[in-house]
Amino acid sequence: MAVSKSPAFLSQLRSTLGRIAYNASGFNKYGLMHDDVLYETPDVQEAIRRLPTKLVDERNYRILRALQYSGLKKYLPRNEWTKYEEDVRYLQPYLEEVIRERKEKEAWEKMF
Amino acid sequence: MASKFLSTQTVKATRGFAVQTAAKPAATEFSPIPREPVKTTTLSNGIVVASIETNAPLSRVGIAFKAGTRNEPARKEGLVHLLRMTSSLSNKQSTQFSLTRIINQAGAALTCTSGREHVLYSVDATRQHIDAVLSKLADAATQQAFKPWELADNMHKIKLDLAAVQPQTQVIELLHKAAFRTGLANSLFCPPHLVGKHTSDSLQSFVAANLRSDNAAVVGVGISHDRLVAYAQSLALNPGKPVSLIPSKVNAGEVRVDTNSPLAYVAVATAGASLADTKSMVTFALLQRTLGTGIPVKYGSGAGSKLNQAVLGSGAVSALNLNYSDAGLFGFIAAAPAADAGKVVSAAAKVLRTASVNDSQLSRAKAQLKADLLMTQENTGALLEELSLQTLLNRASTSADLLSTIDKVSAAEVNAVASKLASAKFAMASVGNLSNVPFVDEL
Repeated sequence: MAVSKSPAFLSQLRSTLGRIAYNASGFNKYGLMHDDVLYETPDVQEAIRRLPTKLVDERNYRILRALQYSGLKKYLPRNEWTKYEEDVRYLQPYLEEVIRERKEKEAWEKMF
Repeated sequence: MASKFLSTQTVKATRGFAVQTAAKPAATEFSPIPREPVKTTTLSNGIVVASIETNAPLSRVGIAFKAGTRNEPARKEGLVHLLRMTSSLSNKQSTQFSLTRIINQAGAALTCTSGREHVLYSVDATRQHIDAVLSKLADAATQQAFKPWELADNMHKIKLDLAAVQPQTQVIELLHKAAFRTGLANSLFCPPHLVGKHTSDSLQSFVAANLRSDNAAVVGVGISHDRLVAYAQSLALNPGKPVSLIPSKVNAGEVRVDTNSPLAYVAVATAGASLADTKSMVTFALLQRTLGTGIPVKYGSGAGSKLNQAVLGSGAVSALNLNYSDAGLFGFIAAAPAADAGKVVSAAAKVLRTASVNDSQLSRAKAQLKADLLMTQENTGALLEELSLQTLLNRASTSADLLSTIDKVSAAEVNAVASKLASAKFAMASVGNLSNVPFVDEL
């Protein structure tokens, strides 16, 4: 019984902690998403290059708006903050593919 | 054994002819094992497997589809050119990087060729390595992904292909445009105004509609038939609904493209033989040989060629004979300096209008045609493509059949075909400096 309950309990705990960490990180107050504030490593740059135009436009809009509000030393109105549930990891599929391709290349290079 | 062979080579190089004969290896060492006949099997999902075991150390395998530029929808011309270009890019199973490396590692070559009525993905490798690359061939031919960023990154290859199109190729493409108007008129090359306009989705829907198991053939040269049948069964191809194509009709018409060139290239043609009619195809091919297909003797004057005799060195003329599943083109292609182009084209058109053969000309044409046919089969690359076309388009198959058909054609039959050219309406295309090139209604 206890065993069958624990995964549900753990995932609830995980999402609660995730929400606290997400709100504490602060970028959501500028209307940004998690994937908007990644360090632009070569992998991330390549993933951004592969994004469909619509997603790139939306990303650029969010970043421009955040810079504007940051310059004004203001946050967005509270109802426009990105919510934890509404954050989409739009870059992850592309990023995973880029990393997979890089690792494949590195594995080949090791053989020679 | 290897070292013995190497030493023989060295002796040959240094000691001259006497030693060469002495060191000749025993006949058994190199005695060729004869080719086996073509074997054909049809699978339950419609894939036709055809193979020739040549017993040679090199294996070639191809996956061919009866779909070519003819199947391209309007405003989507050039999709097949993109299929050629994307054959070595990432697919659903492997990345471009691993595909390239694995092919290289096996010393193999993966190619995609296409025509107006077929697409052929093929791979060739030594017998020892063919198994390693067959799965890559299957991925390239059946698991296309068309990643949008890879399409964009590689678009320069299409531009390079277009920049490298020779005028003699361009004039044949334009001739199809003038003669067929739709369907077979589509060029093998992407039209310049559509470069970069094709999306990943349009490529995927073309592939889904046209690369199906019921119009596919798996062909092999130098591989056992059982091995190839097992391979064909493992392919992830599904049968689908056959695409209805507009029947081809040869029309009169003209396309002229002026370019900054000192030469004029002209192609003129009328209706020829379709692949459906083997006898007529052979008759037209014999007529083509009597009119002349280039100069068979190096630095010769092309004395056997009626077209060459007519233009007397002012330009180069060759008879043209193209066959498709439901239509054909017969005529000539000429290249000449701008000043002589008018004279050359008029003289060549006159030869076409008044063509006739006698028995000695016909027997020479038969010998040339047979030699050309057999020579094609010597080159296993050409043989693979030939085998796929035979399988897909029901082109007359075995060489023995074809050779006996050639023997049966009489001069009267060739003349009957030739006499129709006297009143035929021509389609014409020309590229280059066209200041002296006559218009089609003046021929």
